[in-house]
Amino acid sequence: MNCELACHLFDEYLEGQLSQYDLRRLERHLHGCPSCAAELRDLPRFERVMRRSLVTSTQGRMLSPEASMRLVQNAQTSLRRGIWSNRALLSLRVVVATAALCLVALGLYFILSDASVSPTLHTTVLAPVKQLVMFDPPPAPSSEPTQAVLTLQIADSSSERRGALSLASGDLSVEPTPLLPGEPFTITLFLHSNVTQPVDRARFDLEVTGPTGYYRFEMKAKGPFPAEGVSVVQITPERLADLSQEKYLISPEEVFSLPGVYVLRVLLYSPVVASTQ
Amino acid sequence: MLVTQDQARTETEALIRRARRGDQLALGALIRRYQNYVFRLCYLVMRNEQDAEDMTQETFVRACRALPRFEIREEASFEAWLYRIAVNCCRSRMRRKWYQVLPWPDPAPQLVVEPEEQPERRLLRAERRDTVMEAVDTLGEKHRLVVILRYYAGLSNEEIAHVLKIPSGTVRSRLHTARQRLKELLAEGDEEERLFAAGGVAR
Repeated sequence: MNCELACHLFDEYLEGQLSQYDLRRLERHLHGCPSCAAELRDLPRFERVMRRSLVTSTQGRMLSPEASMRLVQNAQTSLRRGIWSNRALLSLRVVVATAALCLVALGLYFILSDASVSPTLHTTVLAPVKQLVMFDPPPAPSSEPTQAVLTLQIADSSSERRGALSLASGDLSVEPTPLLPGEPFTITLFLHSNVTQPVDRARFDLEVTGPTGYYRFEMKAKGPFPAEGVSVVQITPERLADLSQEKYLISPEEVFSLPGVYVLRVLLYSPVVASTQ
Repeated sequence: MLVTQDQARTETEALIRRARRGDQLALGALIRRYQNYVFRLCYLVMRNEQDAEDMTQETFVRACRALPRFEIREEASFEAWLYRIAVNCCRSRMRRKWYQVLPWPDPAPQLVVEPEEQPERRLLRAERRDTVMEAVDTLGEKHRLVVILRYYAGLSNEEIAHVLKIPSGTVRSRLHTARQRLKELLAEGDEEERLFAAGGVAR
């Protein structure tokens, strides 16, 4: 141990804070170094003089009563701010912790329930925008519900008749008639087949134009439809439900929820004829 | 009434707890307990009363704002915490370009002396005090701060390291350098001072 390092340990030595290892090293050095030993011997006296000088040089100096009063007032204001900012900080921490906990819980829920983002979710998110743009706002409901009048119209069948299935004006009916707003209904189609082979599937569109707006439902009817015969296809609110809710985010009852004239139109597509056995 | 260090510490902690709950009386008592210690420390560092008063105000404003977050622990000393804030305030003020360190002003107007002290001895003490303060005055800021915190504030080397945010080895080194320099300066004084500095410089 050299003299400089020994001097650095004097304070801890006098305070009894040295470790056994440093104590042994320092004492060994002091035995062989009279200069350091003398310095250590004089250190308490030096410290007394320093302490006394520094303390007495400021003794009697104190804040004036006015300054003291100002100090207390400023400190009180400062403490109030400190308390409020501390509370705000704590609240912020609680909010952040809660939000983090919610996120973790949500993440865990998705992981544990194996929930995945359904493709229909996109439709659900995007569809209302189109819906809002497409339709006028519904009028205020009247206290006396009036009857809805359904006027039926069939598409010009001449162009559609070239297929295997045909539809005439009387082949489309709605029950009950008249239909009250929101009431369950049944749309019945009588499909005529003019081919000698059974028809496997028929595809058609049902268009509804009325006070609630314009809707076009793309529908499929699974056969087999008998050869050269008449088949009955019934469309109920349940059948429309999937299509209407998925595409338009509206229930079938709501499609006919306002009183007025509704035009129904059916467009037949070329049917799929069953292959000959 | 004599108050032990532990009692004083317990009282301080009780005052801090009450002040943090918004007790204005406790805050007033806490400030009165420490305002002059802090003021004198600032005076030693800044060397003039006006700056010392400003720095005392600044210290307590900062301390009170941070008081709700001060952690009362066995090893954490409120005094050391206050001194740390005070030293930081003083150092930021001294770092400003326009700030000039002034020489030591006249001694305090109300110097308290021991009644039984002989006039000659009192004079000798006053002279020695002035000599010591002039010697401290010649030290650079780094060494002066260590000396003030050690011999005025009575902090340990570890506490000084905490206050100045430097390693304790650096504190020991600065303190050692400052002592050597002070002893050299004081040894240049009269015969009493020569006797006082007889320990010499360690080689």
